[in-house]
Amino acid sequence: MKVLFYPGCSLKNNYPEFEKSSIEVCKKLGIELLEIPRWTCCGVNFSLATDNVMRHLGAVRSLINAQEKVEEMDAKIVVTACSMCYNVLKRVNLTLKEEPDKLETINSFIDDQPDYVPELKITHLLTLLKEVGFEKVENKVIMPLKGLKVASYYGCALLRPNKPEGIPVDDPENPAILEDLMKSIGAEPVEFPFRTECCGNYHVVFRPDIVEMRTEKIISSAKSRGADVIVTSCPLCLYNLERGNEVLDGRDRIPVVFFTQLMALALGTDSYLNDEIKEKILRKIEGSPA
Amino acid sequence: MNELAKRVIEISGQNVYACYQCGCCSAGCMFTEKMDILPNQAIALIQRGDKSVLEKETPWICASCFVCTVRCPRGLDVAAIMEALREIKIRERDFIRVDLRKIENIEKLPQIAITAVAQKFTW
Ligand code: SF4
Ligand code: SF4
Repeated sequence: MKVLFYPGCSLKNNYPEFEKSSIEVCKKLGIELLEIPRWTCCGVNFSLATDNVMRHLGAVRSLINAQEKVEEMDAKIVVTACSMCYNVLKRVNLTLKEEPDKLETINSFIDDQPDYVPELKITHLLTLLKEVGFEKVENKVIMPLKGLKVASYYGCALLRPNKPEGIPVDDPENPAILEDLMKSIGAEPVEFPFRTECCGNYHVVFRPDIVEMRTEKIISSAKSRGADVIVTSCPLCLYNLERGNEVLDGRDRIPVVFFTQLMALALGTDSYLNDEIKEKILRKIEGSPA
Repeated sequence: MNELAKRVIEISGQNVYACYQCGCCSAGCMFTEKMDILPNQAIALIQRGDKSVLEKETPWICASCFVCTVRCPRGLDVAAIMEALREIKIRERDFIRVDLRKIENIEKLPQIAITAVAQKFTW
């Protein structure tokens, strides 16, 4: 299956391991992710000012470029791996589907590109994998991550808000999609109460104290619940959680990795984990070579 | 309807008068210990047309996590109300909240953090 992929800025510049492991994992499952040509930044936060559509333009421009290519694909969807890109693209797309006056304003403003016809659907990689079937993932596992205790950290953008309908990838108050996926690769999900809480978002730039207040709690909870590793699908969550790790205990850090990296490990393809983290993880897996 | 409430409703699309001050938003908010008033108190000030709410820290501490929005029993998008309070200040062009030239650690920060802060705090 061939589908369009929106990588986003952080996957390209800061966390190539997320993009590469996503592509690898999908390849193993027979999914080809094709990058949207000439995509631009999504805007990161969906603008909540309903009287101003300017801040939706970055997302729309990329969707217009996606629509050029979508006919060559096997589904009219745009797949994203980054939680924040997902949230913005999803919300902008839903807004334009539901509010024709805003669509018209935007289309008449953009005169160097064709009009946007909101027929695409924005899908998070987790949702795509669930649709393909976690049992299919399970069938492809070469090294089950047996004994590895995984704390699934959802954060905000995958789950909220819940209006308009269709934004959350799972029940916003009690999600299970990440845990179910982790089970399918043989790992053991660890429950912890802060999995859907906020990491502090962009405050890391000017108010790192706010991020530290949040992430210390999240990290220490995951640790005291016995987790060996935390998985996320958000580059900013990962960065902020690492900050919490540093503040708490620079030496005894709990690895924070992208969910696709653990999948890649289990499916026997390149996980793009750095050596130190990889070894830490392998040591926890029963019957692993480490 | 007071001027302030009118403006907030215009920008956020949320009927601030629907709020009955149950405090559910503030109970779920993970950032209250850094705020100077609670999110529900900010809404009470808007309802009364008290412009001092525009000088509070709270809207700037709000991280748009949408917990309040998911839980409000009156269906209010509280995060959007916080954004409206920020927007009112931001749209006064001489208002400067942050100086993007003074970002420390710029090479390491993920790009999305910087773009997000620019989006939320500047015009
Ligand atoms: S949860 Fe809703 S109704 Fe309750 S105080 Fe907050 S905004 Fe008002
Ligand atoms: S969106 Fe803002 S006010 Fe609402 S819970 Fe999150 S940080 Fe608090």
